Amino acid sequence: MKNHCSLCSAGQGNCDSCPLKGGSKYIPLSEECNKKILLVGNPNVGKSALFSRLTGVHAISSNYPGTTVGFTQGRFRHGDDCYQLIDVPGAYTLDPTNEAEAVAKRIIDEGGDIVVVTLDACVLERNLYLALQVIETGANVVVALNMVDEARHEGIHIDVEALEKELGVPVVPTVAVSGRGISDLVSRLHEAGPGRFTGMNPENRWKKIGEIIGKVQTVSHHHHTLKDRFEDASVHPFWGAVLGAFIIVAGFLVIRQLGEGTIGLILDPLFESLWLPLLNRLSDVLGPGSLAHSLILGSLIDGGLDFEQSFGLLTTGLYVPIVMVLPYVVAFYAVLSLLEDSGYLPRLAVLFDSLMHRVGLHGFAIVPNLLGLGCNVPGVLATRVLESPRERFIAATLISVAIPCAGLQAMIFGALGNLGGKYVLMVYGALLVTWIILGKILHAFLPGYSPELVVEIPPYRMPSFQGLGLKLWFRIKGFIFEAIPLVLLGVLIVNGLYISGVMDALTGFLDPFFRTVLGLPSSAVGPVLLGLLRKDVAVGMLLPLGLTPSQMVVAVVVLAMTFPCIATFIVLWKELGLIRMLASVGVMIISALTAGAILNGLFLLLA
Amino acid sequence: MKTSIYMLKNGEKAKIMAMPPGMCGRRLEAVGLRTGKIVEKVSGMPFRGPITLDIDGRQIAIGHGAAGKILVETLETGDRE
Repeated sequence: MKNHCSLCSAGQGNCDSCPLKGGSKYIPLSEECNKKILLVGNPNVGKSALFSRLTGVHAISSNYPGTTVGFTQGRFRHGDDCYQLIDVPGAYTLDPTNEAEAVAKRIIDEGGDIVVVTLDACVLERNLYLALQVIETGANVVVALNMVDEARHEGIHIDVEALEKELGVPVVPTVAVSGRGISDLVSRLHEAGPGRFTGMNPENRWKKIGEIIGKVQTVSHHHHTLKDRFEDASVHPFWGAVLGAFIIVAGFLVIRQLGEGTIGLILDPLFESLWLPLLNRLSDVLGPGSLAHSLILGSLIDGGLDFEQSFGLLTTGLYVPIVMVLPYVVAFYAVLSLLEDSGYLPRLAVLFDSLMHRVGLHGFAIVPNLLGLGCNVPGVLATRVLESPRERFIAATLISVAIPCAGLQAMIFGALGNLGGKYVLMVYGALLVTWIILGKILHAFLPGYSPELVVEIPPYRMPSFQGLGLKLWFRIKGFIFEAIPLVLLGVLIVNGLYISGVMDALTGFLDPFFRTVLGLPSSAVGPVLLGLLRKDVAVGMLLPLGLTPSQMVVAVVVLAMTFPCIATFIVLWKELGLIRMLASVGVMIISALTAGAILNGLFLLLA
Repeated sequence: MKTSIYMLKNGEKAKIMAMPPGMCGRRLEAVGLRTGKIVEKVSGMPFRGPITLDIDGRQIAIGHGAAGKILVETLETGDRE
């Protein structure tokens, strides 16, 4: 991708529309840069699209020290200068009202050589508030007046020269999604300077903004378009729900097709034909039964290594996250990022707000919960978007207890699919009921309050595919570097527990309880306990026991509600801290056993 | 007529008369809801769900609780703009 223009395939600088024509090029992150540019703006103004237009694919994303708020850095060259570009988290104001705004303020306070303030031309008035605040800090400012095309469609005309005069800084009209105006922006960076304003209070600032708007903006009448109607429909109680259901179902069908296709056609054959022969040779060298063999390759199943059941670091430890989970995670994130960048996600938050309030969360908590359906690890990580520790605890606990991840859902279908669809539905029903009841209980008993939903609903937009690709790459990288090491660690710990005999002792201790309360035969106790940590093998062991369908449902529900995998346990620890993690685990065990006991009771009553 | 923003009918326009104090008010002001602004209610979700407002041509959704704390005065049809 080096030296590659983002707009055309002719190569950088070789076509007139190239935004970085005239000696600028993308440069790798390793190079030292002499100028630091801060890219600031309200949320949803196309800041990220602008960022990827300027920096190409060379970017890194990291958390601001001491916070859970991420920001992205990249670099580009123009003339003799190398610019380091920082994508500051979206903020409405520098008097922070949330963690992202606090981080934005800190980054701006630390200062940069140039601050590029991105404004949405469609809602100039509200956007100017942040612009004025930034100018008041005395920074060298250039304004990117973004989405000028959309503003024109909406009948909004902005006099750019007049705005430049009012603010006292360069103003460049841009359309970041298509790349229009980017080269003007780059070539005017050196004109950045302090603007006309110094310290104002909010009241005077709004007054000043009113004056500016009066001078620079004219609005002609805007007719309701088809897009407007579609946008209104998506937050309509009935049509919004219909559209929401359609998008969710379509989304999951796409994810399933993409995931299954990648596994069946590409990854599984690759692992079988290239990786397995290597492992077989290693197996001969280490000798089956040796400690090293048990830890690294696991045990032999029917005389050979089995990716799903051997449970060694290099067999199951790699196979499960890379072959069974990664394709679904990639497909899932692709769909999610598309929904996010097209502007649908906030509408989903509106649809689910009422339900989420019942469990002490607000609409945006739908995102981590949906993510959890792919893999609980990113689901729990995504609870960071929630504001209070109370919300994060409720959401993380609900996800790990009652949201079945892709692997778990495969287990549910594997165990009950051939007994009939109604038993599968029973399990999903039990999980949903648990999600609601447990949420209500946590909401009622945890101290503190949950903030209200306040969210801007941006117009539907065509996503920028470059921005989409960048975002997808960061998410996949996050999964690979955060979840896969945890799975490997988990496999190691579980093997340790078995080899040391801890699991055997526990099985004997809990046997009477499982038989009486859950109504499971003695032979099923071992597999269920085992399944607490090794779901994949549990199903295989339960199937030949000849359990009745109702016993199978109880066993699967208990399994489904305890840890999806030990990686979730570790990520809970990381996100919640030791004490809250233990509380969450306590809730999880109690919920699983209670649900199992109630189901068993119900089956006995109905029988 | 004075009422809370939550009570507006769909499609009804009103002028904001008072905002809730504290953090809640600041979060709302950050997305453009200020005293004196004219807003239109686009829709409301059932079961004490959030309402969607149109303000300066942009849509903002706010939760039922916050919406109940914003006081508005409805505009007669002739008062528009």
